Amino acid sequence: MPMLILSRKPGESFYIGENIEVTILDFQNDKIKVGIKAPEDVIIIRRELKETMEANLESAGSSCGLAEREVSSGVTVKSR
Amino acid sequence: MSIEIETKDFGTLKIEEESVLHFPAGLFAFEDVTEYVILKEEGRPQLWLQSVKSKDPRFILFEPAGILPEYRPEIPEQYLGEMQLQKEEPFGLFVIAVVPQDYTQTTVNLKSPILVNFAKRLGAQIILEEGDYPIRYRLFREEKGRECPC
Repeated sequence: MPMLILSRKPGESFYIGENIEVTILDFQNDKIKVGIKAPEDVIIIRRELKETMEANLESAGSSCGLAEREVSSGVTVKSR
Repeated sequence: MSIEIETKDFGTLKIEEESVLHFPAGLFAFEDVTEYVILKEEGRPQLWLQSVKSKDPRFILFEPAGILPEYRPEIPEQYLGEMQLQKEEPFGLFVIAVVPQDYTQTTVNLKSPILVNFAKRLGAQIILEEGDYPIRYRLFREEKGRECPC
């Protein structure tokens, strides 16, 4: 998807669609604070959290070449 | 006391109840699953984070020391506190791997490692806010014909 690039000052805002308002609140050093007003059913999630959830789901589904193989007697619990 | 658990990869296993790790917040996307054991198998570098209550979910882990010795992220104090770790106390750190059919495409999540306090039987998946750690770091770089480490 192409990316729209906007320049905004702290205190200014913009809309995504009819009812999602994003306001730039503050910026300091290398961090920007944004406020988002959106309907309750809109999911807002940090990118790294979304991608971590996806990676976790894939790891849980990974077979690692082990599916249905014989039970090994060398399996132990790691305790430290 | 030993208990029997169903595992995804090794059938039924007997484990010591005291070896169960409690993840109060679960893992991301698996917030309801809070009891795990870490399984290891002789001669294999990876580990399995296996749910105790049922055979799913289980995750594939690696210890960074063996595969990425340069990966030594600073753990924010907030997380050390949540895991009841003192400042200099040793802890377990693991990365979660995605292993596709073609294992040479295996990736590990360096952004969101698993932190474990073995003494207190506590664990958590954390997100490192500082530092540019990839969520899908390729474990094998341009290697072909290499034997699966699994």
